[in-house]
Amino acid sequence: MAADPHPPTEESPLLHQFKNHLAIVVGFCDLLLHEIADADPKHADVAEMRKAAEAAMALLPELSRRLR
Amino acid sequence: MADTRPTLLVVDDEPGIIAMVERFARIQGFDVIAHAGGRQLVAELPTMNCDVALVDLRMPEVSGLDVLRAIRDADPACQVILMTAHASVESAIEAVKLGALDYLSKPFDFERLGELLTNVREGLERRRRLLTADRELASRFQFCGMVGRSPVMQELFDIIRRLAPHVRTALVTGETGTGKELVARALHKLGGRRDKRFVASNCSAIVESLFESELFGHTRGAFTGASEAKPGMFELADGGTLFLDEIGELPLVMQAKLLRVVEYGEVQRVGATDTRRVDVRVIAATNRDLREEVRLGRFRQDLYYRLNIVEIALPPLRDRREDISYLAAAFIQDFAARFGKSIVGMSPGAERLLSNAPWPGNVRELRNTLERACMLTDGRMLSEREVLSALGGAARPAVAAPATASAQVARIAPPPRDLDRSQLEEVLQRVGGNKSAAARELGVSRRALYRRLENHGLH
Repeated sequence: MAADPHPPTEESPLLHQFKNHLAIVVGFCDLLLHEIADADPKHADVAEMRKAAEAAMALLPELSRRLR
Repeated sequence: MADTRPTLLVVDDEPGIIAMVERFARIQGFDVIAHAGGRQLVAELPTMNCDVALVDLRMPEVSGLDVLRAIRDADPACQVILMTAHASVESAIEAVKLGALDYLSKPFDFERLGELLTNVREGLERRRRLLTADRELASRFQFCGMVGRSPVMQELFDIIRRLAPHVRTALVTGETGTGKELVARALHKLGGRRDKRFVASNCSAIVESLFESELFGHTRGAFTGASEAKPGMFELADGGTLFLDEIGELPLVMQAKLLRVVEYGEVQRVGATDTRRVDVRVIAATNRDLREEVRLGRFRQDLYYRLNIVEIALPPLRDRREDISYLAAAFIQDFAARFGKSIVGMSPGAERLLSNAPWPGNVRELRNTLERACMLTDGRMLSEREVLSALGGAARPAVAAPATASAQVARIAPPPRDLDRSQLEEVLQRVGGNKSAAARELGVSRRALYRRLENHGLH
C-alpha cells in the first residue's frame, strides 16, 4: 500500500475525481498492453498514453498544494 | 465448467472503474456483478451470493467501510478488497480490522489484483474439491440410510451386519433423533426377512385403551365400535419385523401381554378365545434408561431382559461430531436434488456453526436444519447466515469479524429441558385440569404427561 503524502482533505473532491479518471485511463492502458502483442505498433502508442497519464498523476500532489 | 465460475462484486460510483474491473475480472475467470453502491446495494447484499467484492472506499451515501461491514454481516464468507484513489493509514487499519482481504490504491496494480483473485479462486476450488470429497466419503460411509465415519458408528454398522441374520428380539436405545428406526430397518433389510413386512409403530402415539387391539387385533363385536374383525400389528408383521418405538411408554399391563407374545409367538385377538401363531421379529426402541425404569417398577424386568438380549446403543450426535460434515454433505445432496437447486455445499463459517451446535435433537435436527437452509438459499453454497437462520437463531448475527458467528451457537439451540413443575401446573390450570388437553398443549403423549406429573408428585 502506497500512502499518499497528501491525504485527501474536505476541499479536494475535485482532485479525487481527477485521479479517478486518470486511474481509469491507466487501467485500460494496462489491459490493452496486456492484449496487444509487443511487436504491434499500437503497443507503443498505448504505452505512450499510459506514460502521459502517469505523468499527469504525478502532478497531482503539486496541484493539490497550489489549490490550497 | 461455466457453473463453477466464482462471482465478483465490484462497487464504485465511477462507471469507468467498474468497466475496467469487469473486463479484468472476466479475463481472470470471474462472473461479475457491477453496482454503483448506496443503500440499494446494502439492501441487495444478502441475496447476492458473491465470492469476492472489490469496493471503492470513497463513495457518496454509503462509504466503502460501511459496505464492508454490511458484507461481513450478510455473508462472512465473501472476501472483500477495498480500493481507493487516496490511501490513508487510518482507513487501511480500519479495513484490516473489519477483515478486508487487501487494500489497493488506484491506479491498480493489476498484477497484485490478479494474484488476489487467483488466491480467491483457488481457495474456492479447494473448498469445492473438499465438499465433493465429503460427498463421496459420505456415500462410502453410508449404511442403510445412516452415515458415519466415526469409529463408534463403524463399529455399530459392523454389529448390525453381524446380528441381522440371527437376532429375534433387540432393543435399540439412543436419544431422540439418533436414528433408532433406521437401525431397526437395517436389521430387517439385512436379515432373512427382507422380503416380508416391516411394521413400525410408536407406542406413545397409541391411545391407551386401544393398545391391545392395535397390537393383537380384535374380533367383530369385541367392544363398542368394533364393527369388523381386525388383525393387529403382530399379525400384519407375521414373518417379518415389528418395530415398537418408545417402548418405555407401554403400560405395565400391556408389557405382560407383549412378553407372552415375544416368548411364545402366540397372539390372541381382543374378544377371541383362540390364539394364533405368529413369527415376528420384535425390535423395540427407547430414549429412556429402561434399567432405571425397571428399578422404579415402571417397566417389567422380565420383558426388559427378553428385549435386551441384544442391545444396540446409538450415540448422540455431539459425541460423534466428526461425522457432521459427512452427514451434512449427504443431506445437502439430497435436498439439492429434491428442491432442484445446484447447491454444492456450505461455507467454512456455516460448517463451523454446524460442528459446534449442541444438537439436542441429534441427526434429525441436523437434517431439518439443512432442509430449511437449502430451502432458503439461492446460491451454490449455504452461507453462514442461511445456516444460522435455519438453526433458529432469532437474532441476526452481530458479525463484526468472520470468526465471531461461531460464538453465537451456544445460545441458538439450548438443550431441551424437561417440563418443570410450574409449567405443568400452569398448563393444567389453564385447561381446567383436563389431562388430554394439557398433553395436547404441551405436545406430549398423555402417558408422557402422566409420567411427568408423577415425577413431580402432581398425580
